[in-house]
Amino acid sequence: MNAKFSLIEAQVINQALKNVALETGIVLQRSAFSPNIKDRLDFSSAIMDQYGRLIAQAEHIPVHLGAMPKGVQAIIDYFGKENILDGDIYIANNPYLGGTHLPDIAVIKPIFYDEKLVGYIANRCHHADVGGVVPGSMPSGKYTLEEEGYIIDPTIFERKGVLNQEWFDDFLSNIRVPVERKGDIQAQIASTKIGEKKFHSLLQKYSLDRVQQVIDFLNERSKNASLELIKKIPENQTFSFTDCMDNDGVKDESINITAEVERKGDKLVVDYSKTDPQVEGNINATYAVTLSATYYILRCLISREYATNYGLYAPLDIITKKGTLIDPLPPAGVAAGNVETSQRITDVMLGVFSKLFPDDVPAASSGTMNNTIIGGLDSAGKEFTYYETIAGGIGAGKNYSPPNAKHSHMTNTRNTSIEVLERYYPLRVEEYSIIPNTGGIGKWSGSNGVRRSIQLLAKEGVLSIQSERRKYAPFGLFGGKDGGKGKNLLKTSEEILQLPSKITKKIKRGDIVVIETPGGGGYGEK
Amino acid sequence: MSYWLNKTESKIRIGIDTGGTFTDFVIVSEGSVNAWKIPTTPADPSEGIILGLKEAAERFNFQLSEIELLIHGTTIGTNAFLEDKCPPICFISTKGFRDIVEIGRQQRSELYNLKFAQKYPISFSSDLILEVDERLDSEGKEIKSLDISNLDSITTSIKSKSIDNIAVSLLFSFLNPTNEKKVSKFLSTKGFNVFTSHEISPQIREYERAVTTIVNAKVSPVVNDYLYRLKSKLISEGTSSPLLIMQSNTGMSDVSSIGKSGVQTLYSGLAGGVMAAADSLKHLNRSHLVSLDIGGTSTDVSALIDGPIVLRSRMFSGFPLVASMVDVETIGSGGGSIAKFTDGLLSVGPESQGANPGPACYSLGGKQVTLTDANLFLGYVHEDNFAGNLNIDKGKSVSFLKKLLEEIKLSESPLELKSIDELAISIRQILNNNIANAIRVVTVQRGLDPRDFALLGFGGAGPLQAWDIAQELEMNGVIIPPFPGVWSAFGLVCSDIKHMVTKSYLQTTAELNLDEINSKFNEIKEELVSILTNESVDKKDQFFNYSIDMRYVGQSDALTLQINFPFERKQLDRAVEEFHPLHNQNYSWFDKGLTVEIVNVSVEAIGRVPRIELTRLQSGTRNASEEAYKKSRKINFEGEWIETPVFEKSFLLNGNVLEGPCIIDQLDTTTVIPPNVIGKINELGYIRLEEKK
Repeated sequence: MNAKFSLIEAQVINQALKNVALETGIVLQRSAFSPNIKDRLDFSSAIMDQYGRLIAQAEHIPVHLGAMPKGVQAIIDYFGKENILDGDIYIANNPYLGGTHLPDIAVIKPIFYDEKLVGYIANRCHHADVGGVVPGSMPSGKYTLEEEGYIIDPTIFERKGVLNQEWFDDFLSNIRVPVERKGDIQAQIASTKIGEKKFHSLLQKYSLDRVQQVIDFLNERSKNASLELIKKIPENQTFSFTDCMDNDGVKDESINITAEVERKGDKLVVDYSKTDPQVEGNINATYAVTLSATYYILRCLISREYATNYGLYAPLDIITKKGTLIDPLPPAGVAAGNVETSQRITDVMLGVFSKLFPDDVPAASSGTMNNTIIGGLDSAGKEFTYYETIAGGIGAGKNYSPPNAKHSHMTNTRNTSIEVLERYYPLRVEEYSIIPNTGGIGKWSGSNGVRRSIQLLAKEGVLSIQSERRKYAPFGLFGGKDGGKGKNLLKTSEEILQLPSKITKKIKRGDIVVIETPGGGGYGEK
Repeated sequence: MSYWLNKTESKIRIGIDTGGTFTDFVIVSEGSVNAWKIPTTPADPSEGIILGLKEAAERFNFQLSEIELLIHGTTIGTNAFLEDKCPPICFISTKGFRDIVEIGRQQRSELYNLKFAQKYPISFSSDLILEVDERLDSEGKEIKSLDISNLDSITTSIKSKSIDNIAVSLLFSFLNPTNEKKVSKFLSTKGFNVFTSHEISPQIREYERAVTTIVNAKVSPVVNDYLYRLKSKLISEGTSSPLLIMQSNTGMSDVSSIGKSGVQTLYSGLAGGVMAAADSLKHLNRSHLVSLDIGGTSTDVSALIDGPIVLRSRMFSGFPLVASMVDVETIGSGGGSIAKFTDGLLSVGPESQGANPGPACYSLGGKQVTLTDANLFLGYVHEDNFAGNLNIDKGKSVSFLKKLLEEIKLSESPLELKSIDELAISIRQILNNNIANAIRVVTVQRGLDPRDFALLGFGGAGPLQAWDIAQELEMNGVIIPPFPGVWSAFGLVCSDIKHMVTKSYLQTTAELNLDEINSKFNEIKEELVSILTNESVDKKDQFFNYSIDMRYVGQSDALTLQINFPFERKQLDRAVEEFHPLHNQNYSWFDKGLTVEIVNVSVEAIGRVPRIELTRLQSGTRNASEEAYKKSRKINFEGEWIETPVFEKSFLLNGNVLEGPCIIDQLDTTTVIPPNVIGKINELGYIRLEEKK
């Protein structure tokens, strides 16, 4: 790299790239319709280069972010680079074509400058419903992708300013609460258009060549930081770790995820080949999700001073075997892979890296997003879908006693305010509190999970739970005890039922769903 | 005592702005404006205030008893909260929800930190979080009646811990405050100071309302103690003048009304600068300004459109507060910001050298290059420009710049860097870029275009950096106010009394009961009338603005529309009509097919205070007079050293046009007019910078 540019340009372009991602995210949040995006902030935005490699991102949802480049690369592969035109806007959610799970819809806009393709602006939002057999499109159990919801293969949503109305109408007529989806997708589109404008003005100000030089420099800079970390790992020695999922929601059998990590020169090889085969239940995690979880651990271990871009992840060599839990073949269902299995892949990474960097890596956190969906008809006969992810305990680390009841690793969405929830859904929250003593004891103890109890006020509804760590607890490290396991209960007028980790079930008026989330693992012997 | 009526007899109005380094005084007397500055006394700022007032009285020849009105911008509550020095409090919630504040919105503070830390407004490790058994439904109807039997024993245990202040926030109390009132009444009879959520923030969302109530309960006692102390000292010095406090909502309040709403002082120290800019809008007959106040350690920026932008809620130090607060963004960029080089990237701030050891040139042992060092080296400021008894040594700036340059040259980065000239320019520009990003937050991120705004540069370093920052954002020119060094304090003497109450009122426009909403407005107005009357505001100086917050059903954000009172059917239809385009303007879409609902009703009460008239400058010729020209010095503009004339502001006249490059010196501030830029002086002493045509 012989390019010469000034101190000012390097720093200013660095900031400006981050701003483009940040500000497109703000536009998206501002103009979105549904509480899931506006209030819970379940969305992400990023900029990729002309090859679909990550240039900059805003700090949103890690499981989305790592998968973003794959989403863009899928568009390039699907249509062919030469068929991508200025003014196009693409939409997709197919998990097998760069997606995560069906509710996460990606909107991608290629950016042209001087008639040359220079990059992509993309965002991904979790939509509260994309059709399928149950409200919320995250059924639990033996479902194929098709049953989970509406599949969007990479699709041209807009070309030369003309909307693909035929597709949009078909989509809107196959999902629940279309008014929300329409508003949210329009917000996603508006956001990419603003992003394009901002990226253009950056190129106009500094020229394409100069911006490209700085992008190369920033990638090199992040890559060097990454290498510096990796070089602390002894060469030609394999470190492995295995953790498991409770079950797939169909059979009551655990499923193992194994990673073997070895440094080979400037490469860190992360090999997931020994992971169990894909399963019937829809907890399979697509390759993009596996990348997200693996990238995440590296991002956490390198100072935030270094930009998040493809350079940062360049030294990683991630190997998977097709047909396994973490790289399944279609038409396996994947709804919970994105939210649950992704957390376990992260735990496996924590396990391996705790052997390499014991001072920096903490014990396992709750390891689940405790997805809870209640849908049905309200008293006015209107359809409703309430979706929530519930926080849990955090794993302790060396000199680190974590805070209670927070989201960990792959997600960081907000909860729905109780007062807002009760105003808009026929539901009542009976309790929302921290469960004492659920964190694993240790020299430094893990933190506690929470209890959220929700009563159905409508005549009947459908409950879907996708959760984990109900059977196998979040692990402690170096003598620290495991975190407490979670619990799902249904209190009816007659009895208290213990529900499994994953279930889709009809519930009646007055029934109370109690979700108790796991605690974090302890660190060090007490 | 009606202080805004007797302006003919009245003599002296004083604005006091307590900053981190200096306490600024602006003394207005029959149109003349004088400024005074003394070092802040952080342990008890009231000491510095009394001292400064005495000094100013001697210097400008007046008696403290002649003071007609004192207006104060304070950071006492803000600092106490941020430094965790507020007295501990107890928090009471609905049974089953004691942990709502600790759980918060369940988000971790940092996305990519495996050992993130979380900040809380209250300590949870104690038994100071309590519950009462009660429950309202989402309509505000009681479904479980209040049981306070457990409070009796609890109060004894709290008493033993010498806790005096209690925050109470119960579910759905914004719809029905009965239970909060009952709890409050019980605890008050036991001698506690009780803060209830329905009083301080009667709006939906239990976490945000509870946090606002807690922060308020922590800050209020500190603010009250301080104001009581200050007021007593003023009285013993013979000043019986009313003392008004600048509030976060950019309006003033009498000390007596601050009482239970200490949360309204959190932006007191910053609101002065914004209100000064609001006054500039009027002086200049403009609609759009961004205020830029660059101090020693931090910079405050705020956008104004026809006045300050006041938010219904905002984040304060990571906590969501639901109260009217000015939209001002603060970043750690100032004269003392440190330049640092890490693996190929140069950054400036947010770490700061502060006032001690300060920039390298202060000769107080500072060993880091700061913005001030860069500006001194480049000639933007001169050794003589510094306030206070400092031994300014440009040599130190040069030697530490050289050291940093060597460090950069030794690194193997593909950077082009030849000289310390270039390094110093880079430091300026990178800091300017940080500030430009902060301006983006208050404009671009709010859906506003910075190109529609002129930049008003003030504070110690504002006039030095403003032009370059405005260029970066393609803003509509730069304006320097008449007294940039104390402009924030000037803002204090130009404000009105203002109180605002917002209450949740959820109803679709189709089902709206006009009588009901009008009686809600009336109820709030009556509350406000009694506050203004207590503050001795005469009826004819009382003004009320009414507004509603609206949104499409199912949305979470709302937009505010002004309405007339009483609210009539025709107006309602018009408000709905106006809502759609407003929504489009804010969020780039609208849909007339959707149902619109009202979320909140608000009333703003204004107590008018007579305006300050600035002295008008004499008219002069286009060229400045000979006596205005002081000398010249070499200044580096974009790499080129140019012999640049220096003018003295006090000799400049209305109509003078100064051609860049030149420098305008005054008191403690320096305005830089770069080459190809002209500075026009207007009759009020503003300098407008624009490109030479």
